[in-house]
Amino acid sequence: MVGIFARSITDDLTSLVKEIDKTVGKNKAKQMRSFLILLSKDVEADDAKLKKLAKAEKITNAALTVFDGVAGPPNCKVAKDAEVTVMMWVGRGRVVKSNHAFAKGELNKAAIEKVVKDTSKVLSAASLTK
Amino acid sequence: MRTIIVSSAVLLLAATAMTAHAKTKSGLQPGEKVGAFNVLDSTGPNKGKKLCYR
Repeated sequence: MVGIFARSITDDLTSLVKEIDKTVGKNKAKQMRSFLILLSKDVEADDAKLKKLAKAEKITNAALTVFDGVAGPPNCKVAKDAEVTVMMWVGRGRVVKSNHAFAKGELNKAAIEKVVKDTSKVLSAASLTK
Repeated sequence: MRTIIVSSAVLLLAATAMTAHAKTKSGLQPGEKVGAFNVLDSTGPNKGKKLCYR
């Protein structure tokens, strides 16, 4: 599972979600899944934005979701200064295998490539749990 | 005196470089377990439902 926690929809976030969406599509047989969690102070408005984004960018494999509250789920420890936090976990134990965090302006093409490359950690770990 | 100024400048540059490369830390770290939390699904087969994806 790849969970992308974000505080706003930017071009770089869209690129990241599209890349992860493609990766999930290629690895459906390995039961790879992903979801974007938009941390929100206006759930209704953000829900509409995500529906529009999915349609415009043809995002079909990754689920786009909204969390009510900009601080994020307390048990996920999303930092106040993090614009985007990516966590990858696997198996019934839901143990985190990889973490990437980006402050505003830090998410770029190179960072996206690094995150996508790191999905191999959850894919190889998933195959070991079968 | 000149040595002190040069040394201070070097230390300041090093500190600046370290700050620039400081990594943002957020979220659960490798080895930690993800707990339950609910989200509103905006897309896909569960569109409109509140559920836990973890």
